[in-house]
Amino acid sequence: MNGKQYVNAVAKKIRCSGKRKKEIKKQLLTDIEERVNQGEDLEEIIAQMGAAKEIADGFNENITAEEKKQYIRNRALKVILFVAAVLIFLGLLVYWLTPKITDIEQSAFFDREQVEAAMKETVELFDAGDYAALQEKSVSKIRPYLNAESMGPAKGALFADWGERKSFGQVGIVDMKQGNRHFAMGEIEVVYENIRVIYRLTYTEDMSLTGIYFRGQ
Amino acid sequence: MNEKYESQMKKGVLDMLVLSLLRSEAKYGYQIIQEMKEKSDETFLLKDGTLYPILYRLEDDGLVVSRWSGAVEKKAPRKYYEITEAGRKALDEIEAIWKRISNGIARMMGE
Repeated sequence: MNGKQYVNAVAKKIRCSGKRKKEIKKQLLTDIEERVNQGEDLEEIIAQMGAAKEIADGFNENITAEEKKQYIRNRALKVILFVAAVLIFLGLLVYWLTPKITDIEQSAFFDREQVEAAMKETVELFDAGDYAALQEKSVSKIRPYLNAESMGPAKGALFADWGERKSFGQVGIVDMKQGNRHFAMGEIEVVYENIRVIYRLTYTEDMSLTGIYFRGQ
Repeated sequence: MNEKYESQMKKGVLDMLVLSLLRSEAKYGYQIIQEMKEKSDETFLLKDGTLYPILYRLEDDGLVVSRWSGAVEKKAPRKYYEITEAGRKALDEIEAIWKRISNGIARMMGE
């Protein structure tokens, strides 16, 4: 341990204001240097001065009540500022991550007709069981689930036999901003022979499918 | 047990002794520690952790003032403490108190 490390270790344990602590560090270093210049060995000096805790205790016992109060006030203020900073950061993070919805007509990123066409195409590919084509039009993270093994049971769980698709119904689309990314999220009603299904489909800015969910109506 | 009493008794006179050492000239911390050790025949072996808070307190009370000296020939700058007029006056008063107390004690203990 060199003189500076020793003095830092002492200062860390002293309960006083930052200004006073800086002063103490400077003075202790000066004293150590003085003794080294007089030919004393650094290790001996440190041993004589005592363990960091011991010397810090000496300071703490002799520091004035006002100084201690100041230290406690500063500590409390630091804790309050830290907690406030963390809360503000978390608040901003939550706000940033919370999806913000705007009408697709107001979107600078998506065209309503283009998104609606993509949604219908997705449903058509889904109905045709063309998972290879669906995968090509999707983001990589959902590709592993776009196959007959995953989708077949999901469809079956909703209704055993959907029958042929008869028509598309109502379509609703919004621009959803999450973080700094925009998504087009839409719901489309599809009428089959035996069931009416609502698809919720989500697309990235480059119109790759990033979410597919369906429920019966 | 003895150490506890010794420490308590010494604590009560440290301010007076530090002021007394500064009466003749300004001194820096380590110098005060050394002089205290020599002049008291090693009765008062002050540690930095004891001396500096005393100096800070004396300074806060306006009894001493401090100044950093510039670095000389590669030697680190030193912080010198100098007694003020108020410090001299306070020292005279403390010394008078000390004499009264020690006389009283001597009389009592000599009984």
